[in-house]
Amino acid sequence: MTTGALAAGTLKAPHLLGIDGMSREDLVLVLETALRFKEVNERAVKKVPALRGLTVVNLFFEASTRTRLSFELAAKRLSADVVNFTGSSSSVVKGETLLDTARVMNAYGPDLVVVRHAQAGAAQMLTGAMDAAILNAGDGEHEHPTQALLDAFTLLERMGRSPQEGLTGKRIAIVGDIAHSRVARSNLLALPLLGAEVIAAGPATMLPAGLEQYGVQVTADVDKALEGCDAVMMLRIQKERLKGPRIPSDREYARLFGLTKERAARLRDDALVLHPGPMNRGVEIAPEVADSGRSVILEQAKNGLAVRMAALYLLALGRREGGPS
Amino acid sequence: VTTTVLRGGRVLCPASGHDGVADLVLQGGLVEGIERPGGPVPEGAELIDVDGCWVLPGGVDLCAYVRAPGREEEETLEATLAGALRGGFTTVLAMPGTEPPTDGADDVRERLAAARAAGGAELLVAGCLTQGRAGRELAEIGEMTRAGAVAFTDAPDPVADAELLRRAMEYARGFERPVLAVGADPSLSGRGVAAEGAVATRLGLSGIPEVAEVVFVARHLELARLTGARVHLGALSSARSVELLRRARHEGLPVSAEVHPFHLLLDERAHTARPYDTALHLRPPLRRAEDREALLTALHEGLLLLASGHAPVGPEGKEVEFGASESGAVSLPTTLPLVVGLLAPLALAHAASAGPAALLGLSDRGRLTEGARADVVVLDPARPLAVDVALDAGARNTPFLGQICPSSVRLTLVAGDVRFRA
Repeated sequence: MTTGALAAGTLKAPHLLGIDGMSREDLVLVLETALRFKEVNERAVKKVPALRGLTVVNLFFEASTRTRLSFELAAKRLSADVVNFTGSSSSVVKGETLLDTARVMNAYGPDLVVVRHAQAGAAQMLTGAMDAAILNAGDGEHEHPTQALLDAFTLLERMGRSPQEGLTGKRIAIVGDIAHSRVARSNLLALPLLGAEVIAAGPATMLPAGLEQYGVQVTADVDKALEGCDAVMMLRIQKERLKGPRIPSDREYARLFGLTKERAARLRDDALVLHPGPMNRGVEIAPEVADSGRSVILEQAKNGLAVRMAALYLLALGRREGGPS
Repeated sequence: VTTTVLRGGRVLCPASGHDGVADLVLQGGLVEGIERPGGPVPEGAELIDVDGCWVLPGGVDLCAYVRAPGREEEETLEATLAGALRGGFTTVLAMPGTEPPTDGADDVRERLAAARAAGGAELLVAGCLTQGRAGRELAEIGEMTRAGAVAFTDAPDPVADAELLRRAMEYARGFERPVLAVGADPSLSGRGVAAEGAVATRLGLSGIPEVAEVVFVARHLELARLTGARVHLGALSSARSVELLRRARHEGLPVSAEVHPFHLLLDERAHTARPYDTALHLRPPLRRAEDREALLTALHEGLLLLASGHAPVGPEGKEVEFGASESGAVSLPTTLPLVVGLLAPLALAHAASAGPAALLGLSDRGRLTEGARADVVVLDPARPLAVDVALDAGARNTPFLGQICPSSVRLTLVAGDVRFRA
């Protein structure tokens, strides 16, 4: 596969910091490019030379096995040289600042930097300190753009739609702790941009102020949210939230806001169930539902690889074609 | 005896209501009088032409987080007091949250002595309400008053225990000293770094709800009603707080409040334009455009006083992720130059000088009437000034860096002595 066969254009921004500010055109470009890479991933030899000679640095300041692995594999399948940096973003641990780390890494001259950090805005901060294209792999409670892209990719594929066609006419519920979720924030932007009707649901204590800005419906009644949905995206509930003032107990959460077997049975027959993982089985999602035929959770992981290859590839291409270096 | 005549400026004195072109005559460190412009000049007097400028009583700042002692790496005492003069403030009230905190008579005396040695603007000291600002036991408010402390507060932290706060207010009332109520309900503001709302949600920043300030304000207003203490509310940021204040004043409660320039000039939309810019990490946070409007209206009405909220923070606190950054901005050098144009000149003289002086019981300043201390600021309302220049060598963390103030300070005099000249 040559780059010429792939390139239908480049992204407008030199970095991928979030879905915020992206055009539908750019979103579609990533998704279409990911379709091509998905084909690559199904070949016997799953490697293309697209990023040969380029260096990708994975800067992970927050524990993450799955996302880091996904990005590492994506870069390797594109023939990039990959190095991983794992640090702590805890402000309690006084050490090198994020900017200092970024400046040191920049001295090695990476072409692409993938960053995961516990603080919102960390990815954007790197753009001022590094010459590489920055790809946000999750910054605090802000955004996780490749997650939203892989969710959209999975939905489109399962619904038999092309990225161009989008999600018009589809009703998608995002359920859980919207307030603390970067996955939710990216999806609240991406799904409406692709034409979907989105409904955000969860305990009222987990529905943050200003959700109306996303042009989505908001409700604390999960059953109402699920009525007639084409897909439901369950959010992971953080363990520490189970003890805070926002919900009384994991038991009540599971019963009233989780995707129980009973609730899943009331979904439309063709409704899909998504979860960004890792799951708390028995809390936000019942094990039977997670493992059921409507669950596309494993496909999400698989598609994540193709989407991340596409994002890395397009950012590299943008640099090559004279974007800001 | 030296005599100085500031000739031909627009002399503004809220005490006498004077607002007109005149010569201001200063003699022996005091105001001699306001004379017909261009009149005879006493022999040997220094004549300074201030044609086109505003001549106001020197600024009295009610809220400066002076970093000395303890955090001189952010800003030295000399730099703070020199910056005040550049900004037209001749008196600066230092908050007690130094290291160690100003919570005893010896601390008060030390701060005052250090400031006299440093030169620049005059430093006044606020003492802690509670020992070590820890919110557990009363600080020695009486002894500190005798040593020269002019107000009491645990700023920027609130006193969480309502009973202790009540007693502190009663106790301070006994010494006729005001209590400065600065902060918000800590359990409601939590670890928030920006105003709760659509903008913080979109950026994924933890929010400080408006109600954290409103509950705090309501609690202090009711305790002022109960105790009769003179309560001054630190920087207000919300329209609802302004409403509560207005009602309390209407009911005759002995309360006042201040606003900082950030909340008059900016609102939360600044975060959208400059996402994660830690210069915008302020306390209280920037709120909605409606809140800003309400604060401007209250300032026009004379309901709010103007204070700098000066809080220098070095790179260690600012060149980090927004959520990990320290709140605060330098402000003494730019407060007056930035707000000129937002309100009538006489109202500005009230908000930045006469009002604060009255609150602190300083009868010798805040006015340009005969016998007042010759603390004077000469503002040129038409000569712009780059913020970068105004900051000089001091700390540089301000949301206005790179911008231009519409006006500038031309001269600052302390007790008749020209201490700053642009």
